[in-house]
Amino acid sequence: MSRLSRVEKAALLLLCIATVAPLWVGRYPPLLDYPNHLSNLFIWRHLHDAKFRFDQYYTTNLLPLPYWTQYTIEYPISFVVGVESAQKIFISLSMLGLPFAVARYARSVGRDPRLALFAFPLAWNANTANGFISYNAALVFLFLALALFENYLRRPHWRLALWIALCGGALYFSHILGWAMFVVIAAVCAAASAITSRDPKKILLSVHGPLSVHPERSEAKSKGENKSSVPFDKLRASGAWRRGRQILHNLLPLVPVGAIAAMAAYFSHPASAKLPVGGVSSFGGPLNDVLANLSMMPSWLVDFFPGSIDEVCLILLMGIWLCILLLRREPGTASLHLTLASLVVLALYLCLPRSLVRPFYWFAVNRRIAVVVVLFLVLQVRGSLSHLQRAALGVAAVISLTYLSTVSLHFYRFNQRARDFETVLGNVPEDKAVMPLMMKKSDREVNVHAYNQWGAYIQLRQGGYVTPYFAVDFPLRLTVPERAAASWLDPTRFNFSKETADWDYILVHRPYARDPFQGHRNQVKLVSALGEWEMWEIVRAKQ
Amino acid sequence: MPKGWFYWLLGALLLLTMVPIWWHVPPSLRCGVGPRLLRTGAVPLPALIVLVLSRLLGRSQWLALLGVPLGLSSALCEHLSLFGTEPLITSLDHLPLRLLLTGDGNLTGLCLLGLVLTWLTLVVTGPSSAFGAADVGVTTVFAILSAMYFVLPVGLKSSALVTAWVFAILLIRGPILDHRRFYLVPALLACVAHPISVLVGR
Repeated sequence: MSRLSRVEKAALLLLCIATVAPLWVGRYPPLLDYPNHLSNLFIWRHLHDAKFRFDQYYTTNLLPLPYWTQYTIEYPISFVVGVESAQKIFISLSMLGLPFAVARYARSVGRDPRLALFAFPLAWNANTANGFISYNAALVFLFLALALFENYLRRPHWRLALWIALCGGALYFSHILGWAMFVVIAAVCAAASAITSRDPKKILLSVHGPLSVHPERSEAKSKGENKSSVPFDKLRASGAWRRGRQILHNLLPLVPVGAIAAMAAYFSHPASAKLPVGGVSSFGGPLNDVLANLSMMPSWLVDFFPGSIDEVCLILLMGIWLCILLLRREPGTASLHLTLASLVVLALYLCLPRSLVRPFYWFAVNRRIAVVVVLFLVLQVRGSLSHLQRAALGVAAVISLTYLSTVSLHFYRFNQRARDFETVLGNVPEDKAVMPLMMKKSDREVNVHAYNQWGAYIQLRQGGYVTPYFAVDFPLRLTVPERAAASWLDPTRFNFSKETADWDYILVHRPYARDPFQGHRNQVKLVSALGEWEMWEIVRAKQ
Repeated sequence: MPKGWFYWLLGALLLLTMVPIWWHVPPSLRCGVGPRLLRTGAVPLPALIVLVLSRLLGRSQWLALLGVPLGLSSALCEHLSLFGTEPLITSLDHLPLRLLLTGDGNLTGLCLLGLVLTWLTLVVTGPSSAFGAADVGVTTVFAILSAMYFVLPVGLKSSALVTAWVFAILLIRGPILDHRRFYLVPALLACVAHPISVLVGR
């Protein structure tokens, strides 16, 4: 593989800037789960701060569950740059990490690392839109761990095994789905490597013992064993025995990866985090048929905002990838491990449920894998890229920059309107409880319900209690019963008489088709209204 | 050059593909005898076009196997119309649904995957020689047809897609010999399974 030219380095730099720019163009990235991750970190950081009174409602619940990687990195950074910037830095790192991790894996399986350019636009996929921050970070660790494992299979060494264990641990504590993908792919590749290995040194290596290379002695020993009349020795000398040992040898780095997960699962007391986990049979959810799974794939790639620019970019990128595939000038070498990894990921995508509904609700399971399937597909181009292919990749870079700039533009426009919220909230005394009533959950700039969890931003200023958005009690747990409040999933069902007792103000995101205060207009007073926001004070009758 | 039995195999697979039009007819294909005869005549077209063009362009005639399942494509029950548009994301999402006539969702999906995997494997393992005039021509036609799929009204999309797939098949270069012939297995299975999927999922 040739080194990057100056133009390629400049393009890389531009792409890196464009990839993180959407996060930094405004205070509010319109990503679904983003606000609640932010408030979790904020509450944890300010738990005993008298100004915010969080300790009256929450306590830490630091169980060894996935998502630790995210909080472990964000928590210390937040001391330096503040909570909001810390979360943005973490997401920026995971967005930038994806192309670099894919490039590392591409190199390890004999593919041109330049193909990882396609990972820049794919970093802004539907998972990102849904605010699956930890899952995105898990993808980085997944490709890094796979690259390390590939190197280990070629040249076993304890240092590599250690790195794999570390990466696998980080993967588990990022997201269990990423960890599961890694374990399955690595196990399949380890077995395939042992079965297809024709290198006698490699087979003999395992006969002699793990992580030590004495092929001459092993060969002599092996010959001696062939002459032996003891059946067990014959078995040991047989190919099946050697390959069996080779498989175990290859699987060695996965032992600590599995052990970390097993120990974490053992000590996590899922019930105390509201995770009612039972046996395998207790898990279940709706399964799509194969055709439906194939059909929903484009929506889970780059359908980020209304309009057609994202889809046009996707179609053009697909076309360019096809050109690169067809313009191949080098035969290149086949990579069995890459093929197997691709098939495993495809099988997981087709076989896992769409979402989990038992024993707890977990939105989007197999759909998250769509982007991984496509990343593996991208790497199917064999050999080093020719000048013509690199020129095509240059066009892909321009299209990626267009797509990423459009994401930035949409985020900027969203922030222009959303920031009126700060002015409206500024009229409320800091110790008052404000209930969010997002009558309009969506926004014209993005395809997700960007205002669904907006209450988290209220909490960042007002402190105190806001209706929890995540079902899992991690890293915090409520110490008080949940208060009656408007449903954040369906605010149109808001019942004024039953759901306002614990609140002083109501923040409304308009417009609304049905007046939420119908019949209770005399009990509320409009404090301020600006743009799409209204702040209402609840007027209580004096006793 | 394939031997005689290849043509017998192709013929048998095409006959099998015609079965759902006459026996256990799915609702989407139910019509009078005349239209049925027309549709029956359309079934072998994609495979025969691939066969003829592959000979003209110097491609392997084994490629005709990849065209067989297209005989039962969604274009067969498309109501040709110059009206009706849809968002681009819908065109992308519906792409797998428009290529093959949908029967049983799982079986049709697996047939589609079999075709795509065969295509990808054959393209990836093809010769890496320079592009000739024929290659440029086929690629250009494929690109135009693919673009037409997104631009044309809803009532013409399936036809454009099927034609684009025919040219996508012709993008596969080099002889299909030795181990490369084994890569045709998923496509062969798809040829057999797709009519069954239409029958089962009716």
